[in-house]
Parts: sequence; structure tokens; C-alpha cells
Amino acid sequence: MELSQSTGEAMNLISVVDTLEQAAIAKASGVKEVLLGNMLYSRFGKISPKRYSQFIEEVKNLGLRVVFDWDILMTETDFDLKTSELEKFDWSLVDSVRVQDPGALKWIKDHYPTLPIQYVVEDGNHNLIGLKTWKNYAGENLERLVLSIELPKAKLEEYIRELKVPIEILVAGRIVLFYTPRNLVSPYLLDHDDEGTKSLSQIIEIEGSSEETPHKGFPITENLHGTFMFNTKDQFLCDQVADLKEMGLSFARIDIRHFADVTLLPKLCSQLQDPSAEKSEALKEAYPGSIIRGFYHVNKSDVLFKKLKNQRTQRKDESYLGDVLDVKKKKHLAIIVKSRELTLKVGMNLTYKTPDGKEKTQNIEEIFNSSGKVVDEVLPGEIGFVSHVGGISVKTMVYCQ
Amino acid sequence: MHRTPELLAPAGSLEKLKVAILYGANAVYLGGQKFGLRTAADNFTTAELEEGVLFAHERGAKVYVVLNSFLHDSDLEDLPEFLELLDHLKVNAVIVSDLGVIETIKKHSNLEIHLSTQASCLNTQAALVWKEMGVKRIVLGREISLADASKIKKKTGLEIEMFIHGSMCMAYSGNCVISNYTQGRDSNRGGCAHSCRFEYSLDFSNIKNASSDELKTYFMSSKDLEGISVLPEFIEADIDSLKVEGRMKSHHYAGTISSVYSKALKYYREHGNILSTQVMEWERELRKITHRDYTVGSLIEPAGADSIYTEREHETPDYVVAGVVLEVVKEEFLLIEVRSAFLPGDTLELVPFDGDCVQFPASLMQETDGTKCEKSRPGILLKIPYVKEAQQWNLVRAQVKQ
Repeated sequence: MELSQSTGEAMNLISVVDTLEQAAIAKASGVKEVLLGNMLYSRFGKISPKRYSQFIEEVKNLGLRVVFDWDILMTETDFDLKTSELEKFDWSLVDSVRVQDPGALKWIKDHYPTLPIQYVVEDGNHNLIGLKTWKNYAGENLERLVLSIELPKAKLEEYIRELKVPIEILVAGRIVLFYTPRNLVSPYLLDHDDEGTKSLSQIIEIEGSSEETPHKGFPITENLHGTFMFNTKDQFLCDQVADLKEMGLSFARIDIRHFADVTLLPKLCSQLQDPSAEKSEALKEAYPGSIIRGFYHVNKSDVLFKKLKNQRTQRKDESYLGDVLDVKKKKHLAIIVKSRELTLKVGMNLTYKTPDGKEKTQNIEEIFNSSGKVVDEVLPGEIGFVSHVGGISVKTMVYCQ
Repeated sequence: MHRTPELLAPAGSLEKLKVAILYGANAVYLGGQKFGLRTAADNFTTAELEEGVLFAHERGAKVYVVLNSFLHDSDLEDLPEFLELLDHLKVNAVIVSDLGVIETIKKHSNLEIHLSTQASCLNTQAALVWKEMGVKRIVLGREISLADASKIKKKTGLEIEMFIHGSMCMAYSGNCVISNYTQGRDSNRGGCAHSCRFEYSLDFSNIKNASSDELKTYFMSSKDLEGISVLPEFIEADIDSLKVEGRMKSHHYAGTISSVYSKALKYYREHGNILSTQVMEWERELRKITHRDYTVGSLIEPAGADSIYTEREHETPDYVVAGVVLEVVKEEFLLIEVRSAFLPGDTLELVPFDGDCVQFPASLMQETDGTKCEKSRPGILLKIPYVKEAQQWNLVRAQVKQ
């Protein structure tokens, strides 16, 4: 069993807290910074707007760095509502703001140009050119990029080196698979009405399984912001500490708010700060759910694409003439000329490439049209009938030799 | 009177491109062999792309090429060569989701850039970010209402494209990776396994007011969008382009949606309004193609519980496409490529590129070797009665016998 040994600088640990007790545990465990999820702005935030500012102060008094978590996506109307409230917020209370919607990024840049920004690029950002452009756009106040856990470690290492901005990834916690603003679970409640489900307090947590996938028990949450599905297994990179430190990962995020076990965070933090094989093994045993490394070692999520369609039915080169549309055994083949430049003529040598990979050839001695009349040439867009060739099926591609 | 928007239809293959344009689409969007999100679609080879662009441009239609995968570094390596080809072919724009792709396009071509719905651009501030990045048109997320879209257009000065018809992602587009983790296929690089269409067993045992402890349901599946009833609102909102989803769908679909929506836009141009009786007629036509139950999604109000499609299979349509006309031999017969079985004497319906459908009986059913056909089979060529309104690529429909 592979076990990492600490070789580099200590990673900063980040967590998410909803209560002062959790914050105290985080502080005692060595966490430097906490994300505070206001119900209105954070996907899974549980802190009420009324309590939020006071809570920030209480958490800061513990000596923790505090980040305003604004990771929801917003339609125009919602964005206007949210930002009109945020204009009243005392931003000096927080050390940084975390955003995912590019609109939120711009709004913060424009309205609070000195506020440090953490930009979440976890979804759909898998190339260096794009990430560098986001970094440049975010500007001088960008203090961190939060990268995708779908990046394999070689890429993560390269990006940390090339981006020259502190990087954070999720090292332990739920993997969000799906995010919709629609309410998908509450319609099955007895007192459901569409309007009523958009209340601050209603959070529904269930599990779902499908016989069409071997994975069972997807956690599903519906709240004010819509419906979320999570992977059945949590991301777990706490046994990769040496690698992560060596590549220079600055921030490791632990998001285990779905577990009630208050002893888990100290154990995870202990392993991340001072890793050992024993602790790692014990942690894997003690972790309340199933775990995976996801795409950390390799991301081959495009290798199956070639199997999604028959590559033999693709037009290959400029000698392509058309397709076989009809086959009448021992009588004829019907060919539609699809090329714009080539025509089907008597005397031509044709090559047939069948959908199942066979190749046949034929010299064209005679051509008929659909009325049974002999023709010398079939023009683009027209159909010609030639002698039958065994083994040729409909959708066979026809090429000139 | 407001100007009427562009009708943008899907072209999953060269033939579908021709069908969509001939039936009235002002523009089509299509994918090459790479860089798009419909890996399993036929898509276009270089030769097909060249032919498709020529065909479209000769008829005054525009061609947009989708490059809307979220590309990894290795995927980007081949992109400059493809961009040069697209530039050379004079495609009208490319549809992109990824900032790395946008930067590569700006560096290697002069192509106009449209932001894909996959980027889930939902508000003015986000749209302004993309504008700074070089985007000229935004395909807004399907969670956006027409009222919001109108505001975004006015505030940003960008062209706005919105979906008006077709299947919908239940998730914010680009924010679903179910396939990545359950099937090993990157949904944002063309490998979506449509896990949202699966039936799920939901465990409500911990929920007090649930209707039962366990429910089997298609709770993540969205009904299909149908915006014909709110077409005047699209026009009044000054939306630039009306997009129809469906590059994986049939010729029948490409032809019918292009025909219906282009007729509706033409009607508005000629009359300055749309009557409810007309809408009902167009809705009847749209029900002839295979579809899930329809919804207006979030076009007016945020999509509610009634936007969830709780069935597995599509509705059985009232009509199927009997075939596509490949040849018209004047006063003698139509040669069609059969797509669905029908019987001698069945009533067929020719769908002309313009004008009303023409019904006629299948009084002639003759195979290409002259033999009489007792029942047509998909994939064969068949001679059917001559109809003077017919042209190559017309659709011929048959009513399904229930």
C-alpha cells in the first residue's frame, strides 16, 4: 500500500463550518481558514442571513480566517436580488470571498476592488490556457484558484507550477455530480406546492439508486438553490499527502459537513499535517462513507468515445463518391452520388467499404436509372443502379479508385 | 413591428443540414468529428463540412460549428488546424464553452465566437465577462426567462440566442458530471450517458411527509421545451436567434421543426401578430414528431414540478416519417428511402418545403426491381405515387395506426 511521506511545506487546511462548535474543532485541529455558508449565497450553506454577520465575528474571534462562500449560480433576477442585499453587507468582516459564477466575480471586482477573491474553476476548466486567462481576468486580488478534482496529479503539478497563484483542491468530501435550480424531490411530498418549497428552512436529504447503474445510494439534497446529487463515494486524497506537498499544493479543503461525527475532522487534519501509514489506514477504516481517489491518478474519461459510433461509416477521403441505398440480391445496387465533384460513370472502378469493415471492388459496365433506362452518367444528388456485388449492404460507402 | 429572429436548427449530418435549410431554417449548427458534445452523432467530415457550408451559403443560410466541449490540454493540440479549416470554409461562427478554446480561436483564426449554453451564462455581469473575452453572441442558459434575456441583451449589447424547442438538460448545463463518475465518460466532452433519464428508486424513509417510503420515478428527467406558444414574447424580447435542440434526432424532426417555426416566423412578419388558432395548428404539427411531453420550461416563470417528465419512453407519436423523397420522376413516381413501415392503401402525407401538407394514398408500392411491395421495410428504396408538389428531400409521413 502506497503511503505518502511529508517532504515539502505544510499545506494550509480549509474546512466548512456551520456552528461555533465546528469552528472551535476546526481551529483546534489546525485548520487555518473556514468557509461560512450563508443560506442565501452558498449552495449548501446553513447559516441564516440574520445570524451571519454575528457568526463571522464569533468565528474570527477564534483566530480563524473567514471566507464568504458565494458559490451559487444566479439567473438575472436572482443576481439582482442577491447583489442588492450584498451591497448592504459589511465586507470588512470577511477576509476573502469565494465565487463561482463569472458574474459574481465581475461584480466583486467592480464593487469591492480591494477584496481578496477565491475563484472556483472546478467545473469545465481543464486546460492551462483557459486557467491562465481566468487568472489574469480575476486580477491582482485573486488570492486563490480552486481547481477541479478531475485533474490528474501530473496536470495538477503542472498547473501549480505554471499558474503561479495559490491552488486549492478538495482532499476529503462529497463530490457534487449534478446541480439544477429545479425542485426535484419536494414534488413527492404530500404538502408540496412549487412556491412553498423555495423557503429558507426546507432542506430535504434522501438517497437515490438506479438499476441502470451499478452505483447505489446517491445522496440527493434539495434546498433553496435547487437539487444536488452527489457521488456515492467521497473524494479522498488524504493518503497522498507527500505528493500533494511536493507538487506545492497550497490549500487542502476538507468538506465533511454531511457527517455528524465531530471526531472525523481532527483525524483528517492530523493525517494531512503529519501523515503516517498507520493513521492513513485507520482513517480509511474510520471514514463514515465509501471513498475514492477519483481521477487523481489518471483521467481517461474520453477513451470510450470511439466506441460510441461506427468509425467505418465516416467519409474518409476525397475519392468518396456516395452510398449504397438499396441492395437487390443478384440484381442491382442503388448508389446515391453524394460527392459534389464526382459522378458515377460507365467504365469506372469502384471500391465498396461496408459498415462491417469489408472491402469489395467493381468495374462499372452498365448503369440504369430508377425508370430502368440505361444512362452513361449519374450526377451529384442522383441515384444510379449498377450490377449486384455480393457482400455489400445498405450504408456501404462507395469510393472511386 | 419587431424584427423576427433567426431560426437556428440542428444538423446532425449533411442530409439533416439540407433538410433543415430546405424546410426554412435560417441557420444550422453542426459538429465536426471532434471538439463537440455529441460524439455519437454522425457529425461532419471535412468534405461534408465543405459541402454543407456551400449548400447553406448558396441558400442564404448560416453555419455555426460547435466546439463546445470543455477541452483538456491534449484536446487543444489539434484545434488550430481545424480552426484554420473553418476560417477557410467561411463558417459564420463557432459555438464555444471553454475559455481556453476561446483564446485558441482568437490566436489562430478570425472566427466569430458564440458562447454555448454549456457555459451556463445566466446574468448580465457574466455576459459582460464573456464579452470582454471576445464573445459576440451568448446562448443563454435554459434557466433564463425571456424577460431576463431581454434585460441582458439591452444591458450588454450582445446578440442573444435562446433555445425555443427540444430536449433539455435538467442540470445547469456544464454542471453535471454523473457520467464521468458512473460510466467513465466525460459528459462535458461528448460522453453524456443521459443518466438523468434513468429511473431511480428514491428512499424517503427518513422524510415524514413523503407520499411513501420508497418511490421509483424518473425524477431527474425534464420534459421537452416547446416555445411556439410564446413566440411573440421571443420576438418582443428582441432575441436574435431561436435555437432548436436535437443534432442526434431524425430527418423528420429536423424538417418538421424547421418547417413549423419558419412558418410561424413568416406569419408574424406578414401579419405583425400571431393568432391562437395558428398556434394550435403549429402545435398539432409539432406533436407529429417524437417528443417527450412539452413544457415552456423557464421561459416565463422558473420551471416547476410540472416540468419533470416522469415517463421512460417517448410518447408514441401520431405520425412517423414513412420516408424521404430522393427522386421525383415527373408524372410517374416518387422514389423514397423508407424510414418506417407502411402498407398499400395507407394514407401518406407529403410535407412540402412551403405550403400545406398533401395527403395521398399509397396506391403504388413498388420496389426498385419492379416487384410489388406488400409492406415497406425501413432501409429500402420504394416507388410511391407521384405528387406534383414533391421535391427531393421532402418528408413523407404516415399516420400511426393505434
